[in-house]
Amino acid sequence: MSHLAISIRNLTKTFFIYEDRKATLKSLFAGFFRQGKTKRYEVLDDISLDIMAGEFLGIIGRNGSGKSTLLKIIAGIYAADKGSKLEVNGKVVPFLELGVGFNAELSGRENIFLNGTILGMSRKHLSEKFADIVGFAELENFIDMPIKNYSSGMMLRLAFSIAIQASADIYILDEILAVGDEAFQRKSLGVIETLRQEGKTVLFVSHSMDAIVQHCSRAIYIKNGQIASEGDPTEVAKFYQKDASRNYLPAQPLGRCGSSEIMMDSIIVQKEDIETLNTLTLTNNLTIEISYSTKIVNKFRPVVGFQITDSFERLCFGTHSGLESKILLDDQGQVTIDIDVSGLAKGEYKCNLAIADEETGARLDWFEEAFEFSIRRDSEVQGYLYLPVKFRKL
Amino acid sequence: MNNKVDLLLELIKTNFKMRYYNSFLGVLWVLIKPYSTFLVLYIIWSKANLGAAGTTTDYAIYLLIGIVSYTFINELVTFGQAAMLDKANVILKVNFSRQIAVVAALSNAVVNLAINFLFVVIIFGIRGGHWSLSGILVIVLCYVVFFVWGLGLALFTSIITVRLRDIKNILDLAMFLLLYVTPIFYEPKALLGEGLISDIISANPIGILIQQIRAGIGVYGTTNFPLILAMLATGIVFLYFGWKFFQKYIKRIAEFI
Repeated sequence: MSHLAISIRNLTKTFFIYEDRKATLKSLFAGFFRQGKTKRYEVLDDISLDIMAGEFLGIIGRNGSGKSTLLKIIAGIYAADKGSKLEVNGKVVPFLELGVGFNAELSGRENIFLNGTILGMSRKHLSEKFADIVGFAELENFIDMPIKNYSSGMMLRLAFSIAIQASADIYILDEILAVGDEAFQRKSLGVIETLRQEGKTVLFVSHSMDAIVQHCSRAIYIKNGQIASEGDPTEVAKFYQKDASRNYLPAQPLGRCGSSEIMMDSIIVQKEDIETLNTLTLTNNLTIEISYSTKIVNKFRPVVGFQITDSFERLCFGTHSGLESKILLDDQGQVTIDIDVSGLAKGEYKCNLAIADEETGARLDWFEEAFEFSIRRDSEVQGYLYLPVKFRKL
Repeated sequence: MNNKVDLLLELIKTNFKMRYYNSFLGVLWVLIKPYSTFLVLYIIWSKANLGAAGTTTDYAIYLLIGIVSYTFINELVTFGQAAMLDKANVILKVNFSRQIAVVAALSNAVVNLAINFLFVVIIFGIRGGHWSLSGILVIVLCYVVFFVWGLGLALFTSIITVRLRDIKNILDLAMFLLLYVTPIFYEPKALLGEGLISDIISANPIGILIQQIRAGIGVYGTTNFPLILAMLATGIVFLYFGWKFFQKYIKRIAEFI
């Protein structure tokens, strides 16, 4: 019968950020008699959660939602606020970052023992597993080389290979599956799958909904420090995707947010209104015409910009009018963006549009995934770039 | 437990390696700093015949013990103070026994002391000195007292430094002044004669312990076991309060580091 691995009751975590932090004696004495200004951030707000032994719990949420703070509290790195109750039954090994304590000047061999002991393993255990670690990381020929000479992929492979040797009851995996090349990622996923089969309790944070659905037996979605949704991973992932793309200002359409002091009134893509735009297939040029109007004059240095992301949600390109053409928006008017997309490889892309303040970066009108488009190419290449290449035989 | 010992040894090894990494003379720097200081001071003070005239049977050894001990105390203080900040990247990502980082930092000072003292032994041997068992015991005990007090202090300063970075400068200044108000290269009464200042300097507990080490090696005064044990006992009490302080504040260290 499975028992409770982690029990969390009314867990709250507040950070106080000192606006004039007294880190030196001078500043301490200068402000000794006046209270330093602090800002209060309630990162986790009254979270209650039970995790059974053997569960593979997926944790999803936007950046800054409180996921990492929750994991750090479970891992014992942060302390929860008073009144919170946390019970952890079993040894916890957190993989919040791979290669913690790695020393670039030391060899791979030395770092195995340094990093391994930091993660709670004994030298004896590491000696026994040494060949496995080196073999799994595929670094047999480089293990006595200082790791400063490793590529980032090699370093992460070594770090992952050490980390998986830590035997624990509860594993905390925070976005660590994006390690190394595709072949190594498959190997890493195999290890994660083994942990699942061995009945280990795993808390798994990922922005990849596919990974959450594939591996997890249950998922929670954390939003603004609270559990917004909990249950079947597929349902939670769907809820998250819908919610994350929804406007934070309820009166505005889907995917739209910002302070609204300057608004995009109409958007024309390739001579067609964005409202009626269906499929858009391109090869070379993309033209976007934006009409906008403003409520507050002279308060900002407004610029118009865009981002193109691929189907893996990787940012391919982004810029704004202030950077490219030194153009600031007037009180109202129209602006045309001509984009040469011949550098993009064949695939599906999404375009975010925005008007923002150049100085502060504040979003005045942000349109997430304003439209999608496909790039048609005759040849298949790897990656999202389509660079002009010539091969010559000498 | 195994892991804690292994982690301690790994941290000591790494700290030691990295301190002299990429340096041409490497670990020789452990010796160069105190021994070059010794040479300069010895040439000047023995020539002037002021330092400890009439109070020591061997001024070279007297001075050497002073400098080697001061170097040890200085390293206990400075390494201990930086112990948490030096491991900030690990503290933010892994929940390990953070006190091990403090002990490891101080253990590096012990390793350096061992290297330095080895040369004291060699030089003392060349000068025809003889060791007594009780003397060796006094010497070891005195350095244990320094370590206990150093560890107690580090448990406070390593935490406070995270919130108040000036601690480093305050300690640097204190250690600089300590060099002059402690009988490192002089004997108070020989240099200053009888009087209040001489009495105050003689009452400096660090100076008392250094004089006891000199007594242990047989170049100054007589050993006083009860006095050393009393200092050890007070050191243990200080260490206890340091440990309590450390335990209380270490829980939130990751938020402030």
